Amino acid sequence: MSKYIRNASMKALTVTLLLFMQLAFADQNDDTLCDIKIDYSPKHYIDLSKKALKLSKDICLTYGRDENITDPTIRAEYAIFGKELELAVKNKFSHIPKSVTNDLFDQLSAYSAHTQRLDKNQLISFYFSLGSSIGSMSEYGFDVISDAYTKFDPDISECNINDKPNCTSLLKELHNVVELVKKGYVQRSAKKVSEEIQALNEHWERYLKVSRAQTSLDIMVTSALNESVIKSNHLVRPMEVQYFLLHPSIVYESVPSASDGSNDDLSFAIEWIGFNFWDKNSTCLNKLIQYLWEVDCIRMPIGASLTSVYSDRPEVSDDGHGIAVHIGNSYTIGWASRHGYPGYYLSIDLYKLFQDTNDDWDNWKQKLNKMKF
Amino acid sequence: MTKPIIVLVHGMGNHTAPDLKTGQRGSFGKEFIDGVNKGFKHFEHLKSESIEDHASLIEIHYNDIFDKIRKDLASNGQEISSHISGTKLAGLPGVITSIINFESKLDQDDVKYTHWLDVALYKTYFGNMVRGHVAKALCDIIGNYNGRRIHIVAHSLGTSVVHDTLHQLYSGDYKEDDGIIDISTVTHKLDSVWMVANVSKLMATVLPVRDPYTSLVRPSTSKSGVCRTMYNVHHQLDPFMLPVQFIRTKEDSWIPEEYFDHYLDLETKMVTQYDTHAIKQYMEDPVVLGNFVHSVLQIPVTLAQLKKAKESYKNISLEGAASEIKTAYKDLVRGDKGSMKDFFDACSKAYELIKNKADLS
Repeated sequence: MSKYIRNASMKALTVTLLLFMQLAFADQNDDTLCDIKIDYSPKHYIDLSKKALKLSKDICLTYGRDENITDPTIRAEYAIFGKELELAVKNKFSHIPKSVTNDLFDQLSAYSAHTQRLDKNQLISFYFSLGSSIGSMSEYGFDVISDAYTKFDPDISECNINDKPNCTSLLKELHNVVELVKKGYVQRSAKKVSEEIQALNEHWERYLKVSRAQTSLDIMVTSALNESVIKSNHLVRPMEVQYFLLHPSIVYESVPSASDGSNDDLSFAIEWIGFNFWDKNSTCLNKLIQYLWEVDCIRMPIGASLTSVYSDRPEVSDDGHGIAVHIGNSYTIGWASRHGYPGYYLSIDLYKLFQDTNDDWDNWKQKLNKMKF
Repeated sequence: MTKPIIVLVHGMGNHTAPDLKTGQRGSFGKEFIDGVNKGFKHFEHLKSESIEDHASLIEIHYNDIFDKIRKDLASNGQEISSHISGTKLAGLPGVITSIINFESKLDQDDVKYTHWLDVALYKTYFGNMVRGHVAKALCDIIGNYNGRRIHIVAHSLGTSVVHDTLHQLYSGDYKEDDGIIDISTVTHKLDSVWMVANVSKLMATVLPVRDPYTSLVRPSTSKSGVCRTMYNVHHQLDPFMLPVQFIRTKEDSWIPEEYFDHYLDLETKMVTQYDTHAIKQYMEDPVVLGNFVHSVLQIPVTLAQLKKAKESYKNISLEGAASEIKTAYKDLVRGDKGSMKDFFDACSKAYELIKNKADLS
């Protein structure tokens, strides 16, 4: 009994240790991703820059844990930062006449109000620029707070008083401080989205690698019939179905009624129209049976085409018409009637089959190239 | 402020990729830098400057996606072509042999396949692959932006790629981990987007991701646009601009009237090379470069300096070239009613003219 208890205790200890390590490493990972620094030399807002850095890390660390930032400490920290920024900037601009700073102060009050609600979709910047074009005035302003930024002339005498910081220098640093608050979150969330896009891109690479080869016409038809994939408002995975129109291929056909020696030979095949569910993960061959009985899905890429075959063989018609079934993206089996005489054919996409072993593919290719029909 | 980040997105045609290990620029990056640095020479106060001292340039390269597709199509076409050559198959529709013949040539270094086909392929589902690639690269850049301003300069087909990618990547209603792959039009806002030789409206005439007039790719201080300022740059004699132009006016209510000065329509007229579509010519032109320096690099440029630069640039313009180009493109469809066919006609005319001039020189 005591042995069982000891084993159970060991297991529990191991699980706890593993969980602890997982959490510890997760935190370490989070810390690394949110380990940002002040990348400018603060002159006017030194304390605020330190507070902005801490706030930036705190907001960053909520990524993936607290979508709406329900943590009251961080929300309060953000709101306090807004208030302190307003006071600090007003203080720094105190030597400049109100006629010049009125708009800035209004915007600071609005920013302070904005920081009362912390929304990851609304982490705003303070914009400062020489102007959007030559001849236009310089501009400043917070994003979102108004429909346009405030125009001003930084060269006016009120903005350039001896021994006092000028407007441009103060506004540039204001930009830096406000940007610092959002920097951690912006970087971390963009990196996460980059990982998600990478996963999506791998689906597309897999599509290129495993799906049936298409001609340019097939590509156009597939695109037109899968319009939603192209017109989506977001980045999306590949379509489930490929379509084929007038698709040429080479098949190995057996026509029992042909003269001896030409029963089995290569033929040229045209798929007039066809489709292919290329992704085994999105096909379920026994879906109907699944409704009735509890059985596992049989997953396999599958498709079909209306197909004609052409070849020059004695005693039978040169062309035959029938259907083909595509299995596993690489194999096609088909039947065609040559004016009453049946023919059966098979095609293997050797390129797909041997794409990871190029030597084999090259050998097969050489052999195939020697064969003519 | 620290150096801004300038993201460069190339257009159609063959472009070599930048080598991240050696720091070697791609061909589009080189052309861009060449154009900007040559343009600096026309401004007295910028003569000794180099763009690389004032900005971090990052190229997003997607040309190899098209290259691979072209080669795969050609390989399949050649395989079938080698089996049916010299064979007469009764009843075989002629259109089939046309498709096979066309595809078997796709790996050739012909402008039809290296340029025009890029445009056609982009309009198919392969466009999704390109957009995925560009979106990832852009998120990697934002993920390391370090508080710096991000500007995008897209050229030709790249304008359509950038437009479509930004529209699909950005959202005004961003939420983290909601299953939708997106970033926020506010939190992740770009500083500016430069659409040079903007074909996004023309490309949207077939299977559009979104009409550029209704998409999120517009300047805005809030969630209704991905960037703060947008520049639409076009040469008066760029043949690709003729069939359908991207035109926005205050009356369109596209963006608030008080913010319309953050949409800049820059038209260039001077001809210093017959390829009026080239990024180099666009960037060298003081009308473009002056505004670029002022707003992106934040180096002040005055109207007087711009006037002098224009005079200097005029000295290197090709005499009589403008009227020659006008004659060459006189039959091309102009206005807003053009189609992709008109675009391909423009491609042919441009190629013919540039080739003739190259043969003569």
